[in-house]
Amino acid sequence: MSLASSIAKSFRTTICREAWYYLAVLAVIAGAAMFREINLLLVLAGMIAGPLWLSWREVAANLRGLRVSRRMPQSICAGDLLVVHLELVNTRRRGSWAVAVEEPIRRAGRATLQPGVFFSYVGPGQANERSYHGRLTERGRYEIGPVRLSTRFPFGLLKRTTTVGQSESVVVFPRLGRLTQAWLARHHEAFEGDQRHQQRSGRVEGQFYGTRYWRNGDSRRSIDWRSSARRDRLVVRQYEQPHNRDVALVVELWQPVEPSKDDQDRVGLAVSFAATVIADVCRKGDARLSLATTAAPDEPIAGPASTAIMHDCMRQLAVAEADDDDRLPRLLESALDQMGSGHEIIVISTRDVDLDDAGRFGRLRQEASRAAALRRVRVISTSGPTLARYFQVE
Amino acid sequence: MKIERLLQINTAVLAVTSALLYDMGQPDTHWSMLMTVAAGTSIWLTDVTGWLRLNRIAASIAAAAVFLLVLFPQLFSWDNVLLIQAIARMLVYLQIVLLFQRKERRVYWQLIVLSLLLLVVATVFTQGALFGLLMVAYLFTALSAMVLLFLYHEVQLHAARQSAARPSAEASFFVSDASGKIDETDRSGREFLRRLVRMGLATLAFTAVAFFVLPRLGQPAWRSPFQKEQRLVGYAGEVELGALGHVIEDPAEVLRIKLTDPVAGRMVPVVGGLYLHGTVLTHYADRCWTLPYARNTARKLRAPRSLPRGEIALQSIVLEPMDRPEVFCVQPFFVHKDDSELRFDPVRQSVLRPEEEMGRRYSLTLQTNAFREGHQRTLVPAGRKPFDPERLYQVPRQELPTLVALAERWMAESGLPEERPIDRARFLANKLRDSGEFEYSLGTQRQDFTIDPIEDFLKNNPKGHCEYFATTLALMLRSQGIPARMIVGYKCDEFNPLGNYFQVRQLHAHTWVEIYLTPDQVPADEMANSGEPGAWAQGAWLRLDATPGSDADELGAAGQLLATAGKSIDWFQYVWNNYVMEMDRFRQRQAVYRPLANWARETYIRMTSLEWWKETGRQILEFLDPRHWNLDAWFSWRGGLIGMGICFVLVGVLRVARWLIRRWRHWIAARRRRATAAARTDVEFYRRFQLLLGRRGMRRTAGQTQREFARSVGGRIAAEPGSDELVRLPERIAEAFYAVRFGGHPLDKTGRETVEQALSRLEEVLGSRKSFSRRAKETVAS
Repeated sequence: MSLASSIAKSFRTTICREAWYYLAVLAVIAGAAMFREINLLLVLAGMIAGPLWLSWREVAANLRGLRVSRRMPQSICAGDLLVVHLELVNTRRRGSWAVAVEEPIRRAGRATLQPGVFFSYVGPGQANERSYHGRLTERGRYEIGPVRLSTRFPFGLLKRTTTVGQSESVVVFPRLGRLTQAWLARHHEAFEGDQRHQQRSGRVEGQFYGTRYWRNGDSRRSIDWRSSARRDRLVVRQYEQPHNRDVALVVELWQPVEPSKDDQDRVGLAVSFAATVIADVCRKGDARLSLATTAAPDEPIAGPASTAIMHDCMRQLAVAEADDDDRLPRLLESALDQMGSGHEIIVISTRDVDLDDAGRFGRLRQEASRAAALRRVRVISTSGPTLARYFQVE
Repeated sequence: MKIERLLQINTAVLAVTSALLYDMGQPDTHWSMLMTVAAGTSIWLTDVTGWLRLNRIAASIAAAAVFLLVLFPQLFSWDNVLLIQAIARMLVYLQIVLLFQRKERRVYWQLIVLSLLLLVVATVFTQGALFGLLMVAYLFTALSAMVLLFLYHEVQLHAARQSAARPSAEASFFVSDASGKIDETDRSGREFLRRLVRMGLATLAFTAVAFFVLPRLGQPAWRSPFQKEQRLVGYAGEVELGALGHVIEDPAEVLRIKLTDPVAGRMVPVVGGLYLHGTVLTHYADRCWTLPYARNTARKLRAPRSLPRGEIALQSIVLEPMDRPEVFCVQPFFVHKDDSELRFDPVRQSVLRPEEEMGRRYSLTLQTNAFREGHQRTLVPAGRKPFDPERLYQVPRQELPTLVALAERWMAESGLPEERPIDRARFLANKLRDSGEFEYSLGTQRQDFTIDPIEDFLKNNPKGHCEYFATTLALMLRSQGIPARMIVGYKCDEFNPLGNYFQVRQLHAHTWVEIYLTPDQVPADEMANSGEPGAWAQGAWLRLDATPGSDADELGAAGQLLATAGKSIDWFQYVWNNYVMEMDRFRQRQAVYRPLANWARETYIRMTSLEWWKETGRQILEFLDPRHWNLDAWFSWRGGLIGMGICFVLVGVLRVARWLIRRWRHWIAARRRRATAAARTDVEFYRRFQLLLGRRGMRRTAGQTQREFARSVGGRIAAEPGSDELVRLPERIAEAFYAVRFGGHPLDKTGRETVEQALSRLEEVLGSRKSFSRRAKETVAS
């Protein structure tokens, strides 16, 4: 992503602290010169006042004709390294000195970060690039910019500032953790029952997705003789087993009206776990993925597991906010209606969920089909110890 | 070179320069030497190698010691000069202490400020033009130091910010890359120098404007406490022959005189030297020329009732501070108005300035009609009859037998009758000057101390300076019955073409002779030429100079160059003294405000005069006429100038055109932006429409037009029972959108109300139906 903007017209010049000291010295010398009519002192006062006037001219000229552009990723995961490149282009015939480029990084309810870079000199017609890097540890949508250019060149007496362009947003995806072996085993087990009835047909099943060198134990039938001849080494074909691993995630982000630190941590954990599962499913592919969150109940996401859908899910999870509304029953009802029988429905909640609770889920149990589907729903709560078996935060 | 090293060297040079500036105003000091040694040592020992670095405690102790030992003893002194000198010494020592500290931003600032304070002290003591030149050097060094210090600080500041943002696993952080470096390329170095020069020149221009425009309060300009009025060594109110041994020519400045035409404003060209009248001496006795019966008869100088006729010239005189009140000027002279503070002594024929002004540089302007066709007239009307006419014939014949005998012999040789005193006087003067028997010399003259020096000069040692020649001539003339007097003043032929003035020095002191002519002795043609015969009613004075020229060698090429350089320096000193050091309220009004006002007035008159425009146009056309271009030659200055002018005009036109095109483009772009923003504002209702439906799960797909989307939404709404009235609403909104977005017609009041009502109705209906969304989705799915 890049942003190219010329300098806006809204300049602001402020007097620095050093300038006040400077003015005080000037006032004393000019006063003495005028009072005693010491002409050399008056000359000296003029020489002191000159740089002040020059500062006013130079700081204005120093920012004129500059263009700034930004390059950065649209999205990253929380805690990952974010590198932002800022390029300053000088379109004038004079060089620009000591230009500080700062841009605020804001997120609602959080303190604003103010990273910046310093261009000591950008020659006439030249473009210099500087970058800053850092980590955003919390998920969410961050606004970066607009870019603020400032300079105090040449003497540091006056400061000229201007704001350039518009702000851009970067979505910080939830922090990814690690799914434990227990999760993988259970996940595999959950699908085994569904897949057991599928008949294998043909000598090689699945779709071709690549080749690799032959290893001991590989079937001779899988050798790709043509590729082997070309590479003068045995190469085997690899096929992906066509398993049905459709997953539907229903994420309940509930927290009391006045959440404690633990409540907030539980929300973060739920989001992070959901994101990790989504990333895992999308990495493996060959599945359909659905995501519905209580934060955006009207915007469910569904589709074949892919990078694109992963980004959609991540984006939704990144900005998902917890609240105290109980939307899980309705969400679950909608999910059960839409999901086929092959889906594994996983409810990730920040609190304990009892699906047998007639008060909350009684309506779901009224219909036989829903009641049957409800039995396939697996609930993982971040408030209990279960999650630790399946998921580790890195 | 690293920026920090440059800064270290720069501040060291700054300290040395300020010490040098201070030294210039002191009689015998050597602080600049001390500072130079300290600065050089500190750069090597403290900055480069780091072998000697005072810590803050040691530096504070040293600074306290400097205060106690240098300044404290003078704190209670009544002598302000001593106190200021002690402050200066303290500033020098403090700078030396700072130079040996580890350099931080604080230390750099302190060094710059202390050097500035030392310069402030120096301005109190110094007056010379060289000081001004060195101040310019100080300015450039200080600007460079300030810019370097700023860059150094900025880099440090960003490095500090970077180190403050330590990576943390818990909190977000950002660190900039490569911010602690300065781009020190050749290109940046060159541009830095260029920028520095530009800033220096701009500061100088600003200083000049501020200095001349800032109004003065009215008191006399400050003078250095060490600057006293100089003693006139070449000029005296009395002349004693033989009192001086070998005369040393003193080049010290006495005055400058500028002659201008008051009407044309141009310089009056003068051929030969100028004779500047000082005082009159009439009595010679005991080898001394005096003015007997001299008493204080000076009175205020008044303007004449009617201006004399002839070529009037303004003589603008700037007198250096002197120990005598005489104003040396070209005579005859007169003032234009009666408000002059000058006085005139009719006995001495001297113009006097106020005694309180003797200690300062004094400027005055007088008028004169002494010039005719570039020559200072030798015969001028006597304003009044001689004060003591008998004295003009006085000659000690017994003591000067040789002189009398020689005069008679020369007169006899001339054969001129007594009725022609002018010719007789000129014959004697020429004889004395040109006979070759007598030689001009500044060396020791007297050989026989028992006789009169003039007798000695005529008999034994025919070498002497102007006093001998003038005395001899005056006494010879008197011995022949021609009334004569001795004039003491200056004869100057040192013209400065840069400033168009005559520079009069001590070495130009001179004596000459004037003889009195009764009205009937004045030549008739002279009276006729003057245009006012009445002016000669009191007789006339004829100037005679019998002093032969010195036998100085002709200047070679190198000598010419040196002389030109000397004149340039002299001119600069003149400008400095007149327009900087002596710039008080009066001078400011005279040299700045009045010329500016005159210029503005004249410009206004010219600009509003049709005749001036016609004349200017005619001159331009004449200048552009190819007939004057000298086309036969390989190069024509006129053609070249016109070509250059055309090029400049074309470049200017191109630049203006480019500027106008840019402005026009900006204006167009801004108008488009405004139009787009307005369109966005107007289509705001459609955004709300989409948002409303989006919340109900109905979103426009990428390939769907607004109209298609509206129809599909209408279809979904129609599936709902009792929603007939709503079916057309989406299409109406889509129509309005098309009209605004693509038709360029913003909604009028009625249109806005219609759309608002439709949106409200849709929001109301769709919001109340909880199951609408689900059903709509089902419709879409089916």
